[in-house]
Amino acid sequence: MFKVNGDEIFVIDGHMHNWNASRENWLNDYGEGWIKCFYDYHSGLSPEDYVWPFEKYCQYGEETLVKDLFLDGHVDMGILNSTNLFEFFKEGFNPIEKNNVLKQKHPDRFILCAAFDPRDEEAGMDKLRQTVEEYPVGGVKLYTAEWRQGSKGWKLNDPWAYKYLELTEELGIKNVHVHKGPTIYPLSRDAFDVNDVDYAATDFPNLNFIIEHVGLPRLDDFCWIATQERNVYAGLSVAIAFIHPRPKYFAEIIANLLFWLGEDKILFGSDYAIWSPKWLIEKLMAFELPDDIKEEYKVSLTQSVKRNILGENAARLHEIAIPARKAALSKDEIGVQLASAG
Amino acid sequence: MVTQLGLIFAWQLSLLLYSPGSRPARGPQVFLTLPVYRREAYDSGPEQAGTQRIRGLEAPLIAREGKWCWHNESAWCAANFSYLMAIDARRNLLQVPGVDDVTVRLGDHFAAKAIEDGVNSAKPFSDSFPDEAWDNLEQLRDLFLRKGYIGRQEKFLRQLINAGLSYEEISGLRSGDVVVDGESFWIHRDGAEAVQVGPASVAWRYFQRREELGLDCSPTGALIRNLRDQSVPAEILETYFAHSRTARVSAEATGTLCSVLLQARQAASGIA
Repeated sequence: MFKVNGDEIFVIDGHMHNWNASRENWLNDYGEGWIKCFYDYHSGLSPEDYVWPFEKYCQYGEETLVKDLFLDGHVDMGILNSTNLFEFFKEGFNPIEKNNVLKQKHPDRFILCAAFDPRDEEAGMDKLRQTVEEYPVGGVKLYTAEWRQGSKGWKLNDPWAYKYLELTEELGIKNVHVHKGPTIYPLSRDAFDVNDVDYAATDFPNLNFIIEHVGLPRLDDFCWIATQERNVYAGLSVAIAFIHPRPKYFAEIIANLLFWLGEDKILFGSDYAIWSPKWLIEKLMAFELPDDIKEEYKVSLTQSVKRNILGENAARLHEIAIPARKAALSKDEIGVQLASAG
Repeated sequence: MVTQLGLIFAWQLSLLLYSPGSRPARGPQVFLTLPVYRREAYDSGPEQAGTQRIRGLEAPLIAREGKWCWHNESAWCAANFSYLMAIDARRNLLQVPGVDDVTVRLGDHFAAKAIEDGVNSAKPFSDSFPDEAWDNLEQLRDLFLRKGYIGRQEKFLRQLINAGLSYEEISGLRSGDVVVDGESFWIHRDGAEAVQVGPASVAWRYFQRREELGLDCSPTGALIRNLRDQSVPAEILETYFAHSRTARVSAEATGTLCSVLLQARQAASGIA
């Protein structure tokens, strides 16, 4: 909860991780390269006070996560991604089994996302059914750039991907979070292309596609697609991190999103632990669009717009009734700790 | 000095960039350590990292010192981008009179060896990464060039709009109406007062990329042309500008990220 002038803003971190990238878990050089690449993003864009030592960054643990998000970081709920990366990490990067442990401990705090990979074909379909049966799945997180047995990625409009999306809908899952952002070592550039979203969003009008990282550096392609497709949303993680080192550039990104998509289709995400939500949220709340940008784009970033971005848009997509959820959260272990801290 | 840009641009460009000139029989070998420290934060993505910056380098300095140090923004910069930057850097340095040999070194880049071996022996990208790359970089380069064109054009258009010209007036302009005078560019139209618009560099960069893409640069051609080499009618120019604006912001994403990472690296290593 972010409190400003007596007003309470409900915050859902739409994109966060509980990863294990410790040395012991590196399967090969790719695992090492992956987390070191992430660490460059972390240390390069975070304010100095928020830069962690590398060892802590590799594996920070649940206690740190709970503190950084909920106790210190103004976050009420988090959308917990499951990212497998079994070709880089022995036990995976943050698979659903591990994420579910966190979910079980704080059931009202997390929306648990499952993952699927259409290259698993029929066997993976059964696994997805089983996952939804076993775990309280609230969405899926798709990583189209993931490597698998020589394949360097897949597309949302591959025939098998369509079968999985059909199944997703059948299983009652509405929200599909798709990673489409900057190329990360060692993944392939083409696998981050947003064009496949255009097909899937048209053909699956009952699913919501939240495009994490707004397709950067393909913001233009993303905007054209999201303007046309009513079920495509912008996930702000990565883009919002520019608010600290390059605020003017962030202003241009958010102005473009507001201009093309509107304030109801933008969702906050920290990409924790790449960045901590506390500084991102505080900077966003303090942020004002420069006058020249406001005038040119004819958009504004008022407190009401920020309220939508920080939580209400995600709450609507995930069918969370904010007053009821707030009441429930005030009584859980974290809520009690927050209350006692004043 | 007043220069009518549309008239002489093509000639100047070819002199500036492509004329090999007469080289001495044997010049100094240039060791190029990648990535070169950026004199100016590049703002339009990796396509400029290996081209614009290299073109902007002081060639005599390179020839005298025989070495130019490049500082990496991240050891994890994508191999294809790094390859593109390195191969462009090498090619452009070889255009410098007196430079006969350029060897690229990438410092602590994760793919240093593969890229150095490939670039220094002028191998195609896919040969350097046989298990990971299945095509070469021409398509990527072309994409960057085209996106870069829209970005440069947006900055040029913005100057015209800020100078008070209406979309209708802009749509009616010809390339020959642009005149560079010292550090500024102006619009000179028959029967109208000349309008001072903005920095000459914005106009140069726009026409430079237009020339590179083979788009019409003749003095009588429309000043604002799309990537299909068509003029943009007044009634859609405002929308065209809004699209170009988003494309420019998009194209700046990687460059902005890289410049932030570079700054952080320099701060960590004590480079001012």
